[in-house]
Amino acid sequence: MTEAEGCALLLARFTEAGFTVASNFHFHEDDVEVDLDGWDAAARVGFEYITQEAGDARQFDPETLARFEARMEKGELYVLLVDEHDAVTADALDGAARAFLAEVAKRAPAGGAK
Amino acid sequence: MSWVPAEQVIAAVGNQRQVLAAEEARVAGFVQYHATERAKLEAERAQAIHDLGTAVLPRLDHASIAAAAQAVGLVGLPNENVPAQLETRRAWLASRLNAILHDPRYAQRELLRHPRTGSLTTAIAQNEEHRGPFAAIIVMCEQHPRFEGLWGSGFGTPEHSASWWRYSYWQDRSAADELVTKFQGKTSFAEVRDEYARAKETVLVFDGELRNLRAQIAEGEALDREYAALYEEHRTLDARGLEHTRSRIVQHLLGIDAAAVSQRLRSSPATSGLLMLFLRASGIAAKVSYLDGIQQANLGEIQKDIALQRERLDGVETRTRRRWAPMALDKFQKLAEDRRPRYEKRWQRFGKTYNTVYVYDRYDRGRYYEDFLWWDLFTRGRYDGSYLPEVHHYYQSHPGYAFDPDWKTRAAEQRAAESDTDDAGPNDAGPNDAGDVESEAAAAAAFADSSSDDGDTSGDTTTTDAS
Repeated sequence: MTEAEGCALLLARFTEAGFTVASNFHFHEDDVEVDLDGWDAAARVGFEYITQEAGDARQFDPETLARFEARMEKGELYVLLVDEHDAVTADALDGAARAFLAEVAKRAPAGGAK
Repeated sequence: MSWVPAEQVIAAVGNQRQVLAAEEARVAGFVQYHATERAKLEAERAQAIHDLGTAVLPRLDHASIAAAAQAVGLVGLPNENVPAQLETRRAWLASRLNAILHDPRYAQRELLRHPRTGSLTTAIAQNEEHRGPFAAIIVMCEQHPRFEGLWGSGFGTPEHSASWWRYSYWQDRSAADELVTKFQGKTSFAEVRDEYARAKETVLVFDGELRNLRAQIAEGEALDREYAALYEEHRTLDARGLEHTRSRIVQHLLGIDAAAVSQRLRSSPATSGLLMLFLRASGIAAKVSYLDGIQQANLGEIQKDIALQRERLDGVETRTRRRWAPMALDKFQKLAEDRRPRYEKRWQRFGKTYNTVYVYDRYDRGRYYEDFLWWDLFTRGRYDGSYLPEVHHYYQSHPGYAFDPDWKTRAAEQRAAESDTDDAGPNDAGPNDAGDVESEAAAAAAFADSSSDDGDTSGDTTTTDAS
């Protein structure tokens, strides 16, 4: 599926889950500066569909990705990362989004990250 | 200057293309004809070689070998003591056959390798049966597109760590769940992992055992084959020895200059009987070789010419179509010239040579010459064969050689010299023997072009015996 189709599906799932998602959000905190496909600034939850075409691979280089994931490790934010190389299908993406959101709810019962 | 319109030029090109196509078909037809005739000659050659070998060496005893060696000049042959070599081989074969007979892998072949009841066969079937369920587990796991990744990343083990915010993590989880449902009684992927690992180990053990059992079967079967081959050799050893020695002698004879062998065989009454058989074998071998050479050289020339003409026609057609311009009359006349008579003449020349060689069967006439080349005997020295490598080589290596086509005078002289021998034979008296005429007619048919306008094909291809 295309990035646009994937992002539309994720937006629908995140919205259903109660998040107020802004599309194409420019995220810049400390030493991390990336563009996210969807981001709820209040809940600090979002999603990013990493594609070559959109130049995401350049933004999410290994170092940036490591810093970004370190923050998720600490529970400061939760962003579902979808790599286009992972043979994404609508069903699988839908299942992954639901599972991710359930995990977020488990880790941050108040509805978002710390 | 007169001009010919483009339409007419294109039409002339088309006509010439048809002529070339007809020539090509004729070449292809002749290639087929030559292949058929060659096969017949090969059979004739094999028979001639067999007859010569049988006559030179009727038996494989010391006396016969010595006589044959003396006759053909293979002086080292008696010293090789072929009968003793055969006896040595016979003893070795008997010993080896006996050893195989007592080898348990052969002696108990039924017990071991019977297709249904053999112990090795049964063991293989049992091992395969027991291996089956474990192999099925492996297949079930490995058929899943994500199993390899799950296995490699240690998914389901305590060491496995993955980022749950990645899509791939959830894909893996979903794949692992799918795999778990395939295994009755399993509740986690960790259990599936263990089952897979056990299956891999077990299959490895079975595979090793199966390899061992199959190797034992292969060894036994190799022994079966060896026994069968050696038994057959032992049973036919004398015939094989005789055939092998005959073949060596005949190859030796055919490898030497025919005139030299002819002289040698003629020199003694004991071997003169072999002379005709040798001349026949040697003559047929030369005939096959010459016909191949004639065909290749002449058809090659024709094909080259066709290719050249086609290239020219392509050029004319392309240029004319591009500009649609008329052609000067003198050029057009050259283009439209009927090339068929020229091709026909070439086929006649080629056919004459081919037929002359093809129909020749008076190999016995070689006995009248001290020095001769089959080519000259076949053609009575009338055709140049120097484009054939063997003919060229002969002329080069025999600078003083001159062929005398008058074999009758030579025969008379020889008869006078050997007044007690009259080997001219009743059919040796003159030209156009009945057999020659018959086979010549068949060969001429291959060259006849039914589309020929001048209608003199058959007359031209008939060989006339100048003698």
